[in-house]
Amino acid sequence: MDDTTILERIRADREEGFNALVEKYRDRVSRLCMSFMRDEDEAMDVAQDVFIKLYLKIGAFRKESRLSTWIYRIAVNACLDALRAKKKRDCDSLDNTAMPADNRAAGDRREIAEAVRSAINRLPVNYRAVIILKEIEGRSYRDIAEILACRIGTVESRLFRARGMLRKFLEPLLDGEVIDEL
Amino acid sequence: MNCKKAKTILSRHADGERVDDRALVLARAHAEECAECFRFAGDIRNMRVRIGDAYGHYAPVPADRIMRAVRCVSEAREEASRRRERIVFNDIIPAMVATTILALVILSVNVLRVQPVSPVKGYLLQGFTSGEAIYLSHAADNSHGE
Repeated sequence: MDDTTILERIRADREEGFNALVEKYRDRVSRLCMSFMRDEDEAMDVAQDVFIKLYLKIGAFRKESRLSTWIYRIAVNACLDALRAKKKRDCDSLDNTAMPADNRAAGDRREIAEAVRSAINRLPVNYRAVIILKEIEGRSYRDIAEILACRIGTVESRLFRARGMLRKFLEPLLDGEVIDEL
Repeated sequence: MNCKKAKTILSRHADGERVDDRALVLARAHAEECAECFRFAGDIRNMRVRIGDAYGHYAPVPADRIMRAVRCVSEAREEASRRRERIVFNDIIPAMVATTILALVILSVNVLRVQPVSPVKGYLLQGFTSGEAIYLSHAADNSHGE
């Protein structure tokens, strides 16, 4: 179902229409929240909050951007708020306990995945947001700029720096894996 | 082409952004010669694969959980709205009516208090009879008229 139809259905019957929006976007919002939060329970709580916010704000959606971009913006802000609250609560800055994989772990797929997630979680939140939106969500620079309310040039430079940092964190994993195609 | 420019073009291309064909050819040619830029372009792709693997598994939040939460919030808001209406109709409006009535009473008392005393009443207060008071009042009016 396309976004215009969903919005029309919400206008006709708010709850029934919103149900259609949930069906269409819950996968993407859940994945995004999981990417930011790491912990599945926390991610689900944040995803649920995102949909509550969407339900309360959908009447104010003015079609100045695409519905998906608007949803991403609310979801990213909710994730960043949750991360800040978590950081304050735990006095636990970004996860420094899990370090990038060493060579011993390189063969273990699960440990590699954990190392990658840890590395992304060590990034400053602004960098983490662009990496998640680009590498996991596959959004364009323009979309990311709209979601994060910044300029395309800022997205590009954050992405560049974030990749540089990830490269350092994941050096053992990336070494010797150069793809021969440009 | 220098490394900075080549990296920018290679990143944009790897990210699916539109790049000028000629610039891309030049950036690729540069990367073929430059080990750092070649590795940079490879790293973007390697990282993408690794990140895709790391975040491939996630559990979507169940739709019924979302809708239950939404209904809960929606009902709470409706109840709050009804409570606000009740406060307006049961408390605020009666209080405003009472305040208005009180204000009108105070205003009318003050208006009555500053009414000027009529000339006849003035003569009566000075101890004249009512006939004398009326006469004196007329006489005073006539003298003013002349």
